[in-house]
Amino acid sequence: MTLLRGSHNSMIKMIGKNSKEKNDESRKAPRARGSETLITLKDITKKYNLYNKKEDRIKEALDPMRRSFHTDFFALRNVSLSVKRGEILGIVGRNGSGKSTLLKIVSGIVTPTAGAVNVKGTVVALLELGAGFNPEFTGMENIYFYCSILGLVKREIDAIVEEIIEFSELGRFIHQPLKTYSSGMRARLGFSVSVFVDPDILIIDEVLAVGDEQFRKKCHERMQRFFRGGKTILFVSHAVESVNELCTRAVMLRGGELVAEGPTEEVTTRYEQYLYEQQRAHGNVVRRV
Amino acid sequence: MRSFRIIRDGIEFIRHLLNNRYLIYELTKRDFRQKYVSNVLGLAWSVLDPLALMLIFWLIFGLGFKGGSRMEIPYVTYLITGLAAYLFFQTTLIQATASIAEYHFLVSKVKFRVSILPLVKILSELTLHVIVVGVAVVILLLNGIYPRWSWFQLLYYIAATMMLLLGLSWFSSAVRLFFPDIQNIIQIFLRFFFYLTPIFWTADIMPEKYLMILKLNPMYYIVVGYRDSLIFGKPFWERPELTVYFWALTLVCLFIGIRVFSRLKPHFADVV
Repeated sequence: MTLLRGSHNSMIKMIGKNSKEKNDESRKAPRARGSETLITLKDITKKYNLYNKKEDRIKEALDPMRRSFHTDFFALRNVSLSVKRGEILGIVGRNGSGKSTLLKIVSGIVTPTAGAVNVKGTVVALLELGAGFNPEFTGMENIYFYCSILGLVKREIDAIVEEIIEFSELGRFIHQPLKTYSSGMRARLGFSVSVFVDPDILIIDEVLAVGDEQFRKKCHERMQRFFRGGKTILFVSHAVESVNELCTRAVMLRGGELVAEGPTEEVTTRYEQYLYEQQRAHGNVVRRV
Repeated sequence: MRSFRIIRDGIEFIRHLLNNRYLIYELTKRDFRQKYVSNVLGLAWSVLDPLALMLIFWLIFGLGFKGGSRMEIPYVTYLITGLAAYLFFQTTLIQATASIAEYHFLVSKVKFRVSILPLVKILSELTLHVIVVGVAVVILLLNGIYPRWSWFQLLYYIAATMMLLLGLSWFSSAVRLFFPDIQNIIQIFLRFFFYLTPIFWTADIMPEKYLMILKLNPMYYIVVGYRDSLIFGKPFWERPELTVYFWALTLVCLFIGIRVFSRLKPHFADVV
């Protein structure tokens, strides 16, 4: 989870109007308080250098002839996106399509190789269950530790700690060391903290898949309340039903590129179609073999 | 002009530290607790370690070789002050070098200013060091060395050590992510320097020309300074050349450390 206070941007500051926004304009009152753009990504590219061996990295850094010892891997290629205040944006795509990288760029964890990022407001990203939770310490201690990483001071944490514990439904387990928790419990704790920290933008990356039905329902309901409160959510999931249920708009990534954008149903249908085609192609290969 | 940018960045960094006092406190507390949370004797080991070392050296050199010269102070006091100083430096550098690798989740999963991690390690070890100094003070008292104003000068030497550590550990913690071997290299260097610093031997057993080279070791200044403060009551300005040399060296280390760290930082998330 991350929290940005204020705004962050790299390279060019951009306030863009994506032409594809037109169909969304009709849904929301144009230029009213609800249409402030909070997240702007323009031509984002993220390239990773893949080295076959660890030594290759050093060889490349020290080589006087500046030879390359790596291959390029583009996690994201020329992705442009805007998100307005109060939107719940669904992001779908196969594993490896660049979803997590995109989220990391929005949260400021990863800097893009090219392109401009502009994010306004506080961001909390729930990217991995309990990243940063120390298993030896109790749930309560981890709440304080985690909130302080998100930038809160003790007074602010004291104000929300009761609600966090209540929402997580962990009860007396809150005083037990984290290593005794199941993955579902850790998910509940993680989600609780991220929501009650009350960011402007909440990013959720497939963590809810671990929770059970009841928990997922609770999270959905909480996210909708979040949304009605004028907050913004970026939601990544493989569960198409969840995306359809929650999101006002969706985008689809494939091979690091943004291939679809628009009303949720349209994009998810397109995504399912793509999955079906992939499966058929794979099935054909298997049959031929 | 580049140096102006460093000063501006330095001020910004210090402001960031002040703004995030609570976070640094939480991190230090957590790091410190981690040292003893699983042990039964817990924190006691951090004190037993230097004491055991002192005992060994005292037995061999104090009772055996008599440290090579007649001393006006008990050998134990000479030993414990030197040991306390060097062990703080040694343990902290080793810990701080591994700090970013250890807190890797703060690099790739959260937006976090990782440059404060070596500082957290330094503060965490400092807390321990204070306890060890406490023990050393007890030994001094038991040997007839009484409190004096120069004891406060210890704060200066501790601060000096911390500055040196900061510069070195920014360099080493960044490089460690790409080249883990540096952890081992540093350990060997530290062991090497342990014997090159007048901890269990006295400076007068060394020929003059070797002593010149030995004084190039920054820890020479610190170890001698600890003794000056705790035992002899000698102010640091009575060692002007060494003081200037130490701070010049420390500033160079800080400069290199900051440069290397900032250059490598954008790539941390890719390798951690």
